[in-house]
Amino acid sequence: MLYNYKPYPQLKDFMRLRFTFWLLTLMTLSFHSNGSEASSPLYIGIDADFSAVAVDGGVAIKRGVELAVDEINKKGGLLGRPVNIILKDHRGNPARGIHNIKQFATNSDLIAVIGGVHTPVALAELESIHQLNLLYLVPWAAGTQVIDNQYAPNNVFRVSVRDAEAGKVLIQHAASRGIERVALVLERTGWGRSNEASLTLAAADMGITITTIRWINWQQKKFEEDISAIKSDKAEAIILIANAPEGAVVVNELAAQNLTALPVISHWGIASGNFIERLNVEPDLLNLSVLQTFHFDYQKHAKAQQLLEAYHSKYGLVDPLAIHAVTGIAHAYDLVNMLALAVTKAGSTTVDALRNSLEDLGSFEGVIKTYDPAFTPTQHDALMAKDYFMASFDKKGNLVVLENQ
Amino acid sequence: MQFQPPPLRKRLLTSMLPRLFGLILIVALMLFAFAFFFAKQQIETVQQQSIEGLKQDLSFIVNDTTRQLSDLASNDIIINSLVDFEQRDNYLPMFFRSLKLTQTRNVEFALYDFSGEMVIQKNWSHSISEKLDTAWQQRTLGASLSFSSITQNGVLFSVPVLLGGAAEGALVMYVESLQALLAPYPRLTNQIVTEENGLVLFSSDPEFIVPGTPFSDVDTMGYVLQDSRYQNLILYSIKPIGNALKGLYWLALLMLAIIVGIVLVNFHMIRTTALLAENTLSALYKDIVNRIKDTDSQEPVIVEEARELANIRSAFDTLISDLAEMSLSNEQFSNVIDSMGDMLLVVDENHRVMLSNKRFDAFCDDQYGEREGTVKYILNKLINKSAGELKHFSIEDGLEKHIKWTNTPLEDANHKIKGAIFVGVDYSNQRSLESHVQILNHAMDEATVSIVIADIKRTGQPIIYVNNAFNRLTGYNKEDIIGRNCRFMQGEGTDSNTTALIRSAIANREPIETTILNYRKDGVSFYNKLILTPVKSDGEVTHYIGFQQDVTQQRQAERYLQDAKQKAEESAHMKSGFLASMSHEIRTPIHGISGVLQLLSNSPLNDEQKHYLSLANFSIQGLLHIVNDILDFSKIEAGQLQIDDQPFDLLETLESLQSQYAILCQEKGLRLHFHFNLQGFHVVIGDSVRFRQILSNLIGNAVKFTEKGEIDVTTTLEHTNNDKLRLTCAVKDSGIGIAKDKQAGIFDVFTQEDLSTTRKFGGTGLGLSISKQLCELMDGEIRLESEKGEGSTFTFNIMLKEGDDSLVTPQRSKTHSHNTATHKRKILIVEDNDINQVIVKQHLSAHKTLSAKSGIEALEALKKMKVTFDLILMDCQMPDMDGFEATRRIRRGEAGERYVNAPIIALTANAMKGDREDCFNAGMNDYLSKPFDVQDLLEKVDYWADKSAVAKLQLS
Repeated sequence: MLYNYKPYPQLKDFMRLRFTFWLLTLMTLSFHSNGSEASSPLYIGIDADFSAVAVDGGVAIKRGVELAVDEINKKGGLLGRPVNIILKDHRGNPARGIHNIKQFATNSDLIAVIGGVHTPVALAELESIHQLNLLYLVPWAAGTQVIDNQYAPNNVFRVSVRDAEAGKVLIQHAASRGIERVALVLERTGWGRSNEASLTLAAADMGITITTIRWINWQQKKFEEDISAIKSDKAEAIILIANAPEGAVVVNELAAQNLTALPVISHWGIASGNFIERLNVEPDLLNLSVLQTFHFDYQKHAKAQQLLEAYHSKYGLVDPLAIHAVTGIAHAYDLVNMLALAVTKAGSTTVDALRNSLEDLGSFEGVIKTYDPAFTPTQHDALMAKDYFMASFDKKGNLVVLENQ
Repeated sequence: MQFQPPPLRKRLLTSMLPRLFGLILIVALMLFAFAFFFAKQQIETVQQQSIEGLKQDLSFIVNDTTRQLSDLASNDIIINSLVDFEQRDNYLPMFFRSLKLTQTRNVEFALYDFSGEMVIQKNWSHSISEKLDTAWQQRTLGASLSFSSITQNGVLFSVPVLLGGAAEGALVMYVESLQALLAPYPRLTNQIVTEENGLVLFSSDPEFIVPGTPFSDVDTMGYVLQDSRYQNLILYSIKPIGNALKGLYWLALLMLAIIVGIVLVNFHMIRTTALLAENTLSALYKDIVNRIKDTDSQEPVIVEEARELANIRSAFDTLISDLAEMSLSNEQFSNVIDSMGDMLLVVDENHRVMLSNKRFDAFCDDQYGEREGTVKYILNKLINKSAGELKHFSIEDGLEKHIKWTNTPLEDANHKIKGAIFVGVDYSNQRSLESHVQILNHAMDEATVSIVIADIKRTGQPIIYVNNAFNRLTGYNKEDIIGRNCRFMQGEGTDSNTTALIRSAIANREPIETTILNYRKDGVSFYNKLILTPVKSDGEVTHYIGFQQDVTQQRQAERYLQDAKQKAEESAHMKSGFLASMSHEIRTPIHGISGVLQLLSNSPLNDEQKHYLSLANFSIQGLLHIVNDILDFSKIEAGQLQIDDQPFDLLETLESLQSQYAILCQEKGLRLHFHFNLQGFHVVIGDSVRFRQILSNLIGNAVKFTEKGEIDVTTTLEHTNNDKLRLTCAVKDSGIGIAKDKQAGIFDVFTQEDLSTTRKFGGTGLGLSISKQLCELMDGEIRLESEKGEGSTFTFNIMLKEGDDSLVTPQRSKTHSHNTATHKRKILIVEDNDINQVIVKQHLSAHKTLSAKSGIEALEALKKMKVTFDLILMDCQMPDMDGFEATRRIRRGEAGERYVNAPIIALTANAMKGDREDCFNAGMNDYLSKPFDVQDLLEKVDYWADKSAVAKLQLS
């Protein structure tokens, strides 16, 4: 049986979508001003890239939120009020992200903003988030500084990879394969720099030599000299911190220089966009492993199966392996469910109440794992190194869990 | 005074001049009108070109700037800086400082983010009007398209910085005024660019029209103006009128001069024409008058006159000349007669000579000057005949002259005969030629060789002459054959190649000599030796002469000789074939004996027995050597010996020969030296066995015939022109040598230097002959240099091909075989000969063996037996089913799956080349030639059994 592949919405479609949501927001706002407080909806905002470089990630986050919100609404909503979703597209552009946050802040019924894939956007938004006192839930952006910011109280909670931890996992993975010399390829953004720090630290701990650090710009098209340099530095593997377009440039250049056998140990950025479509080489020919936190073959418990069934009934029957950026779905799903529990526990939707409630949620059974607990007043990161695992691409370009984990 | 009509000249002038002037006036007016029209058009074209140029400049600035900005906007540094909020300040300012797009100074750049916030700028000193700001942001940030604007507010370009197909920011370039961008280089006309409201944005001559002022302020009187639009701009080209029409003044002056010139020239022409007509007519008139008066005295007046006048004059001249001819004298008549080649004599009724030409007079001088006598002689002989040939004796050359005379009556106007005209033609040369030809004809007619002449210029190339001998040869008469082509003598048995050859020779006009089968008139065939020779006339071949000779008997004799030779050769071949097969039959029992001896040597023996056994072994080796020689020789004779083309290690072969003969030489007290110059080639392609055979034969001979001293073997390799290798090998000994007169036959069969040598040294006497033949089979030769008592040097060379190391399969490790010698194998021996079976079995007594007598038995055994055999030894020639067929069946699985890949080693008494291929083709793995060496057998058995064991292990 052939699985039906649904193409991403084109930019134009998305603009139309955005317009519809605006219209909806306006309508509900006007409704709110007129009507009964009790049944007026609550809002969850999503601020992610739906049209530029990490569309897979954006769509996955949206679907995770939608699946959770569907369940919540089926159970009668939050505090008796239905929950609606507002989408805003930041296209990976921090300036747009800040703009979106400011827009969200004008909605008094908004309980939280779910962020997107890009660490640079999240980092740029932190100031506005805290100024405007919004609750910011991160299902993807992995930059350490996103959580370890200088704001107190800290309005940011994350169910995702934490670069400081990811660095350890990536370096450990290299060490477990007997690799002693690695080259780092990092995107020239806050995310890249966040990883540079954590990888350097982890490598020093594990006694692994970093032969060279190579930076790649967003939308950079050439990487020939850098790969040659990596080759001449005799690196035994590349650790890749980049999104899909730049990741594909790096891997394609490897293939062009007949270095497909060189292990590439990648952060999960390449799993957030159409990485496979950008490849000039069959994915299974690559020696590529990707950091992941969730996979239907890794999390096989009932909760994950329920999520898969819900996904199939809402978005059509798709091969579980072929669901793109599946981690985004799981993270967002768990985050929204935690938010719902926090709202219920707090009995309020104010940010301060919700923050306190999230920090004191207790044990929580999610699709990724049972969080025990997810957050504390000093720890806003729910997933740590032990929750990560490595996957690789199969012939069809689907992620498969690497064995021996 | 009588009225005189006006002269022709005056009339022509008065009638033509007024019309001419009128016509010139009209043409001049038209020319002026055209000139003015085209001048105006030209001015417009210049203006148009100028404006088009300006338009192109503007368009270039807009497009090029936009393109450059777009390139910049797609630079990943720019894109990255929009994403990299935190650290873009580290690299973006430097990147921006280095920006430079045009030569113009004061260009301002800025990078905006998606919301229209400026991120970074360069030289940005102006604030842009709000309207313009909105306009570019709407287009570039809103619609992701590039934007350009040229207004009084300045020139602005903006392009989107695209991420995923939509604008995430914009690059903006601004220049305060268009004047700064459009360089003031030389232009065809003055150029102005204004906005729609008429404000001047650019002026090519800022002193004449100041930029920034309204264009309506400019006084354009006295200027030609042309305008065009480019987007929101109006472009003007301005040129002063006076300047523009300057060219036209000169044109007018030039044309006036031309018209005046034309009038003058025309006036002159008309006048000249009139004058000419007048003069011609007057001259003609005077001329006629003069001629009538006196024909000869007046030279004709040379005037250029019209054709009509000339015709009149020529008709008049003809008239005068006809009159003159009427009185032409007949003196030329005698000149004509004298110039005749024939003799002419005219006599009257009374036989008096009326007329004779010079030729006749000279003839009379040659007849003793007897003119009268000669005339009388002629008249006497011919007066009543119309023609006749007379013989006259010439005193000049003492020969008789044959003159053919014709007699024609001389008649007057009334057909009355007034005398006779004799014309004499000298036929002397012709008569002498005729007699010459007659002699030749006779000679040809009577010649004993048949001669035929054909005219090849006529269609069908018919025969025009045959002699009597032809008649005797073919039986055809002249009547039968004249006019026909020679081809009719050909028939069924005639070789078409020969006829084609003849045809092509004739077509090429070449001589040919060939023998062809022809048929006589009575149908009997004969071999005709034909020599065809072309005959040339005036450099062109017109005829062929053929000489024919019956060579049938000669032919038959040749045929008998050829048949006899063939029969002799066949019988030699048969003899050799018989010898070859006999030798092969002899090998089988020898093998038996050899095998039994080898077995015997392994049994416990006392010293005496051992000595006898070594004698028997020595004898059997000698016998085998002789049989091998005879077999080789027979094979060579029967043409069955083939040269192998396999890669082999030359150095290794030489080294093994050296070690083989070193012992022998040591025993005899001889020194053996090997010298190589192999040019770096170790591995070559050729027949190693035959090379070894030749060289060991020569070394063996050297050892045999040398009592003391040394033997030098020198081997060299060299490249030949055709990419092959020539191996030259010289074996030099210090032995008894060979006398000069015996050297020539030394390579013949059964020849040693003399019979005593045979008695003393033994041998078959075939060795050198075989070596010679082998050398020749390998494109080489062998030769000898020797002095009796001084030693001999045998030198041979053969041709080899280049090989490389990878072609030679590595030698099987001998140590390996020793290691595994203790393994007990299960071996099936398939062999019909009982003795051989026993021998093989005994040799393999260390292993478990089972024997079968034919292929069928072997297949049965393999199928039925529970044990799995490790190896099969297969004889090739067996009754019922031979080894090849049995092997093929085993490979097909007829003996069960377990034997499909089992190792099979062929045992064969045939050492011929084809056998080896047959064995491998049938699917056998290896090959042992009988009589074989025990060590060989054991090694091969171990090697293949091991290999199969390893394969089985891998499978499981």
